[in-house]
Amino acid sequence: MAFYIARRLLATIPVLFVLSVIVFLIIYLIPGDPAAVMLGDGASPETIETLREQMGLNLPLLPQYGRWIGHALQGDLGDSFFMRQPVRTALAEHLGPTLSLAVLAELVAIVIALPLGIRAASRRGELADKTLTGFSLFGITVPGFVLSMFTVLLFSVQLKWLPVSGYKPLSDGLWMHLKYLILPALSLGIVQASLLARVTRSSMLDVLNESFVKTALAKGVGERGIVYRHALRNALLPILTVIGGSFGTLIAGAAVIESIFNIPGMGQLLVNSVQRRDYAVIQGVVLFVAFAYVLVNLVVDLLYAIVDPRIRLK
Amino acid sequence: MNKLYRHSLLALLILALFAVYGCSSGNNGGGGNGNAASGTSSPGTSSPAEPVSADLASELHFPLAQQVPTLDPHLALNTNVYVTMNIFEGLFAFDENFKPVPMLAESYDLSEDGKTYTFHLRHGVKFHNGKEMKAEDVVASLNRWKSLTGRAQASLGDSEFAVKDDYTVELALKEPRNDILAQLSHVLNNAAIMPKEVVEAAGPDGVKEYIGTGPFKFVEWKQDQYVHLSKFDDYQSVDAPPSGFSGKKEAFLQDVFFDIVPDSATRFASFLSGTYDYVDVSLDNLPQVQGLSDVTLNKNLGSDINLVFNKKSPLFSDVKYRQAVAAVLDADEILLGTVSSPELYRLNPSYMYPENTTWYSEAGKENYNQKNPDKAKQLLQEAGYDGREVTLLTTKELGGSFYNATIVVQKELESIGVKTKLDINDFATLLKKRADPNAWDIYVGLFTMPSTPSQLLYLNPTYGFADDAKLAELNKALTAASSDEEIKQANDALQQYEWEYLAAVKIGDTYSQTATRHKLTGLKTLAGYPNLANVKLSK
Repeated sequence: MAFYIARRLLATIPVLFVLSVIVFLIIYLIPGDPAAVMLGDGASPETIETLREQMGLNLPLLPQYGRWIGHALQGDLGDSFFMRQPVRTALAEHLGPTLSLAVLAELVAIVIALPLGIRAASRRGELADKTLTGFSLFGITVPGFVLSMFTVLLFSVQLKWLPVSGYKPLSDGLWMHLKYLILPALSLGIVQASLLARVTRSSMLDVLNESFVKTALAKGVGERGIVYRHALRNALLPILTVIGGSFGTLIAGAAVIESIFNIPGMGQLLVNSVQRRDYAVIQGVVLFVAFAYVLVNLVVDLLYAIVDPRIRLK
Repeated sequence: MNKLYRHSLLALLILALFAVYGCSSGNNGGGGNGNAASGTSSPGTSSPAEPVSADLASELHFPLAQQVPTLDPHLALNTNVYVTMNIFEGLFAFDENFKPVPMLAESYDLSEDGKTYTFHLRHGVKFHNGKEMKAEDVVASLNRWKSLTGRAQASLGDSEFAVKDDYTVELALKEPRNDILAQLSHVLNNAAIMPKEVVEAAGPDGVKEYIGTGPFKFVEWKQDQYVHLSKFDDYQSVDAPPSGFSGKKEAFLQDVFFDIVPDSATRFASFLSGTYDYVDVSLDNLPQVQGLSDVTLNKNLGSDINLVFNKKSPLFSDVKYRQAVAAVLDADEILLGTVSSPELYRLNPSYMYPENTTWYSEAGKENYNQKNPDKAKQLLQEAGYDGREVTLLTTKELGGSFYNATIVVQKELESIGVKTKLDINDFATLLKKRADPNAWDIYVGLFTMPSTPSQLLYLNPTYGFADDAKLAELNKALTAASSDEEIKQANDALQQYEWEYLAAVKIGDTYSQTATRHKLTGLKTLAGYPNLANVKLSK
């Protein structure tokens, strides 16, 4: 098992390397000059040139990449031009909000989707099933930002229960922390839930049609027992995959929701950095997200073995 | 795998995840304090909020629409100015009519020949670090400002500021210039005075500490989230009525937070929910505040729209083509297309605002807003237009107004048979391309309040590549003029010629709308930038 984990982690190294080359090239192919962005309209061309020199932007591409990868291998992802801090620090600061939001949104998704999907599968064609179809249609078609506008209008502007936007770290207290995350988590969670509910339903249906379910029925196992003990456990693998995938997406940062609710997470960091051509940060975020994806997938694979003992990891 | 093993593995995984999260959030406490300019000071440094008076709130949250790239006042761009003008001050500051009024200077003398400025500094003005402001600080600050600012270099040439004694600074120019005070007052790339040590420690990317003389001092800058200022208790106010950024400043607020909220719907919803007492109001949101009894709507003169030609482009190096474009433009149509309401713009044939009585001129206005397609077509024919494509450089960022103005211009150009191409970029790319003479033909932009014609960017060779001996000569004559009569004459001559040379075509002035709750009083703005010094917020 430990060998398996180590091998999987080692396998990410070439992935990250290729990615770093691609991202590096893409970044330098887009026009735009961080020095000009920082200094603005009124700056003299000489001032911009001095800053470019200091930022190392006048070096040819290959030495620039060489310098970057050299540092990256030692765990130093460089410094942000604009934030005046190491990229590592910037990533760490923006990871907290994103992680909190991702966990909360995933919880919302699971709490809504699993019961709904299970119920719909066991009551196929009945009201519960139709509710699910309606709900998932709603979740898939209504974009997250529209949903968030409505929730803000209702809960913040009209009822004044929750703040419109912003973020408070966990150190300010649990309720303070949650208060700012409920609406964005709801907006993200509902969209994820609609997908998850559909997968739960179809996966459950597949299992419910299998012959061991009929055997169980014939044995006289009650409906609850069949659905939760026999069917759900067997239907869990595809559900787990979808949860893992959506969690990975959430960690990558929900740029739109983060900017609507003004949450200083990864998505916002990436968007801001692209706008101001903060090359080192763009590079750092992309690599981090790729790594997080790999990690989440690894965790999902490990969970497979726990959920289904028939699976052996080699 | 047995059950126990599997469960403990799961628990380990969860633990590991938490550990990663915990370490990463632990890191930023240590790493972020590396330098003072990153502004991540520990929470302990902010003073406990003490209300100035029992009826007044001590804390104000002010929404900013855009990110703050730097807080260095000498580098400050449109977005930073909101913050920096409340931390820093210069020798002079604009009043509400863009007239320079002494701020850190007590007075100034101008020599007979108009070449030597002697600035007498106020005594006893303290920086936020407790040090008294002296001539050496002023000289260090202003010489750095000059080295970083295009318009200052254009005005000052090789001349530098020099210390005469502790409270006197001298500027000896090669030629007489009448725009020095305006250059020292302008809010963009503000000629702010900082301690000598701070200036000397600055790198090309800006100062490392934010220490000024203003009524608020810098506390913390949480990147992309907020900038926190607090009241400066040792602030020495001048005794004159407040106007623009000049005059008396008394801080009634203990803490000011500039919250960065880029999404306009979020900003507006936050205003409605009571988080903010001041907000910019887009036309769509207008009906929602019009009905509110505790809110005042304000109309502020924002920026003016100009169409800038690339004077090095194949077509527009020829004045005939520039004249053709000027002939067809319908200013009303372009302005309406940009701001969507006749209430929010005005026609103005001058490159300066009418409020700016010294520099406003209507000379050459017969070439403004011509709406004459026939004349335009004829000019194109005379110039021998062969269907070459004209590239219009624009961006959808900055609220979309650049783009909106540009597409109306595009339509008008196509109506006289000009082939056009829109080149839409993000702002960073636009900045880069605009500096490249081969990348574009026409650029329609919104410009922040010019206070003297010498501040008009597009009369500058670096911006649109104006290269004309007569223009340079008229510019020189203009800044050398001393009496009111001479100024008027030189100014009329320049504007008259500019309408013939057409470095750019003036389209008009636009207003922006803001909403203020009645409990917020004393707020002064200049070109939309807030002076929070005398603001009171009742509970």
